[in-house]
Amino acid sequence: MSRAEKVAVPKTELPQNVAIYAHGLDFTYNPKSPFAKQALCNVDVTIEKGEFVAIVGHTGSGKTTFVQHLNALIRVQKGELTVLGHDLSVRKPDLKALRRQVGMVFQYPEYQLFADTVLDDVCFGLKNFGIEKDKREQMARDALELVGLDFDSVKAKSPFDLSGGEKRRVALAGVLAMKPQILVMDEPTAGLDPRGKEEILSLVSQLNREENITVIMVSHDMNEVFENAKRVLVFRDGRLDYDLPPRELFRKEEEIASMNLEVPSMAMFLNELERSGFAIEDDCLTVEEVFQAVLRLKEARDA
Amino acid sequence: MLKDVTFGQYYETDSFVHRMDARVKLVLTLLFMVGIFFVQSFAVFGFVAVYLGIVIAVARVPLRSVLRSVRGIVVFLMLTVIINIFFNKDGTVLWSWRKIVITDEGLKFAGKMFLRLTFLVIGSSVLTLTTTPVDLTHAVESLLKPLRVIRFPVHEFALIMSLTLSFIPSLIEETDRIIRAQKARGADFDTGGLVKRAKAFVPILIPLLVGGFRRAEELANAMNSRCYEGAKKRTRMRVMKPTWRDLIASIFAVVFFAGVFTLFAMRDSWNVITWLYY
Repeated sequence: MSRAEKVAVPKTELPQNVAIYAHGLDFTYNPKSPFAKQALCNVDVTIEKGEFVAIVGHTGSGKTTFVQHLNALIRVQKGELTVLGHDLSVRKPDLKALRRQVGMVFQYPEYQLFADTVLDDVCFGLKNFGIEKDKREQMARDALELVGLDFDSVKAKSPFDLSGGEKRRVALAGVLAMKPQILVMDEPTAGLDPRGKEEILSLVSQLNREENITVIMVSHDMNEVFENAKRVLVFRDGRLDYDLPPRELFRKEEEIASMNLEVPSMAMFLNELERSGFAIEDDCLTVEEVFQAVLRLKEARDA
Repeated sequence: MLKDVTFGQYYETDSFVHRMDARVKLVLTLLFMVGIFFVQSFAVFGFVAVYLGIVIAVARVPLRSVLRSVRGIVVFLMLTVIINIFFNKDGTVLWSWRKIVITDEGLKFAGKMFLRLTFLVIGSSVLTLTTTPVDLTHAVESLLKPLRVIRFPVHEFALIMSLTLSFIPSLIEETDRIIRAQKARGADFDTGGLVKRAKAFVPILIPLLVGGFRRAEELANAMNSRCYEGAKKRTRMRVMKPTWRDLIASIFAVVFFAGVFTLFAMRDSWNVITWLYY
């Protein structure tokens, strides 16, 4: 379908509940040079407020390029992109307002810590966004407690004296302190031990559920994608190939394998059950949910 | 953005010059750099230009990337030319206004200075365009070997050089990432006065420094765990060997510079070549 045939939604008519609207988004690194590389190609996607979206794809598939567009670290070259009402295809969007609303957590965020104390580091963003001094400490306290750190015992410590997992939480608190409406994370659990992973993921899920924060998570771990995300975007060679709920996506075992992605173990189990004639509801994704569903099936059969 | 900054501008292709021994290239480049200071007339600069042209053609590097290296010193070049034009007061006055005097000698001198510096940079860029940084450090190590007699740690010196070079791309990448991360937290590098802008770099420099130490430590561990112990009985995978190419190039270069030096030595004594001189 060519671009002209698509019905373009005028920006003013975007419904209130749309968080991210991308239409025909293209991006090329080093354009007009021998090193030119097209990283995004005609990406169309609409994400509503409060969604939990995972973005997966092989290395170099364009997923990182896409998420960096969301707070204008990469500027729109071609196409339309509107994030929380900010039109990012214009020449000078209000970057400060946008970046305050869209929190971005990079890979290994602990590598960006720099301040003398944990408190100063968490306040860095707040200061940049012009929040008054007396409010900052309270907001930093809220954020640090949200990530499960004891404010009074860590606030005066040097961030470099903390353990790896604690550093990551401080970095995360530095983003959460700004109370963003959209949280974009690039592999937030990379390099953590299983328990650290679990803690970060349950925190993110909780933020999504209770604070209604829109979560965009780039991940290589299909198991965590399967258990947490309500919707999965699959990028391949700069194109958005699939945009499906996790259960539906991972039914396509062959396509997934052809993209060099793994099928989550729970999806494999569910697919196997389905082939043997035991269908389980699509919204059962965690071990607990599936366990309950299997019990229900058994009771139904026994009855 | 930062990735556009290329360091060690090696241009990958296969040519006569690319295949030469890095040591020979290094020595000939040094010879060229010394030689260029013996050039005293525009006519001889013409010969040097032809020589450089031949070298560039044989090296099969695009003229554009050669000229790009000149771009780096353009401010320095302009400053040198302007200072020489205004402060050289020999010869006939061509134009004057209050205290500013421009003379024909001043113009000539500035012109020669311009050509000398430009050729100097172009000549050395041919070396870096045709030689990988790794080969270059090997060449330095090999040429410094005699210094071992006075207990100069040649091998360690070369290792430091090559480690420095190999860290540069990853540090650039890391800088880029840290800048993005701090920007996402509202850091602003583009507005405010000098002090404010300088302060804005603290959140970049500290993580970069910490990261640098981390990388260095990891590298030291990796080397230790593979039993690296310095220069002792270490052999090379690629042993450099001068070939017929190096012989031909050396003869070509030596003949050329012999000519340049002869013209320099005879510049006062032989009137017949005064037309070359002026």
